[in-house]
Amino acid sequence: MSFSKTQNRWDGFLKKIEERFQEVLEKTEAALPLLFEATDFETTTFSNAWQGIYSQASDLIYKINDTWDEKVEEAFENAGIDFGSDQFNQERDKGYRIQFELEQKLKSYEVKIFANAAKKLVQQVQDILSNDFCCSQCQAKLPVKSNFFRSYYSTCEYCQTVNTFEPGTKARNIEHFAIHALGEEAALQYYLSYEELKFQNYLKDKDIHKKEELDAQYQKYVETYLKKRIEIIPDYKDRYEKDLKAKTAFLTNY
Amino acid sequence: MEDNNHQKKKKEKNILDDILANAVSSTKKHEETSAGLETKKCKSCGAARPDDTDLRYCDFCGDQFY
Repeated sequence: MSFSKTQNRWDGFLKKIEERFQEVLEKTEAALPLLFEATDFETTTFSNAWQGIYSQASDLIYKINDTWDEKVEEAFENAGIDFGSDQFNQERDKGYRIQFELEQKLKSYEVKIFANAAKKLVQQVQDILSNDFCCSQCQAKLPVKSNFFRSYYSTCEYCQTVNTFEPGTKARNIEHFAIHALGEEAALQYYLSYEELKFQNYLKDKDIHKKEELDAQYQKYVETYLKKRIEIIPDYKDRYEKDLKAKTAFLTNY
Repeated sequence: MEDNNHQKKKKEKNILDDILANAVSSTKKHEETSAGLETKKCKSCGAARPDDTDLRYCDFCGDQFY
């Protein structure tokens, strides 16, 4: 097969992968929120469903590299293109680029879909916590914290009885599910930039972006992520430095 | 050709449906707790725990709370 025919087939294959990928995620974007509402904001089912879809989308992405290794590389060589030549590298990098772009898109989709679900959950919980809660002894109204999602003692100011407030499963899921999703959404741009810099280094096979530049970008991602969490649960402020150190440990330790 | 496309679309739809159905059927369901207030009461005299007391002894009858 001639070079141009091989190139056309390679381009066509890449286009099809992109289209199929887009299609899967568009359908997901429509279906997952419905599932979340139908299960009454049940976060485990939602996460399991996403895991299945993520796996399908990842398979599509990695098909690019697998197909290059199994068929396309050889086809270009048979078409007279030398291994390692500029033309050869250009075609190979085309695959790398699309693979990377789809990975970035998948990450963005994941963050967006989870953040949208998290916002719905937060709204639900705000509605629940804005209800009246009364002392179990004297029925006087007891104030409830709107930004604390664990159980806590609350003393009735009328009869001095200690009540235990249980915020409920949905509110507890703010801490287990929503704050991570909303933190990731706030910090997404820095995460994508960090990955972009890493990819450019990989593509050129040298450090065109120095480690300090990469680390700074990652640091911004972590800081924005943690600050968003504090915005939702102010108590996290006390452990900010500890969290920051833990989440950036691999930058300094390795 | 059109038939093939139709078959393929049907299969693709089924994959997504299967993933969602599988997630719904295979996820272990836990009982959901509602938001609310409760008070620990002494098993002996039924008194509730007043402020500034601990959970070891009842402030009214002196019995152990637990």
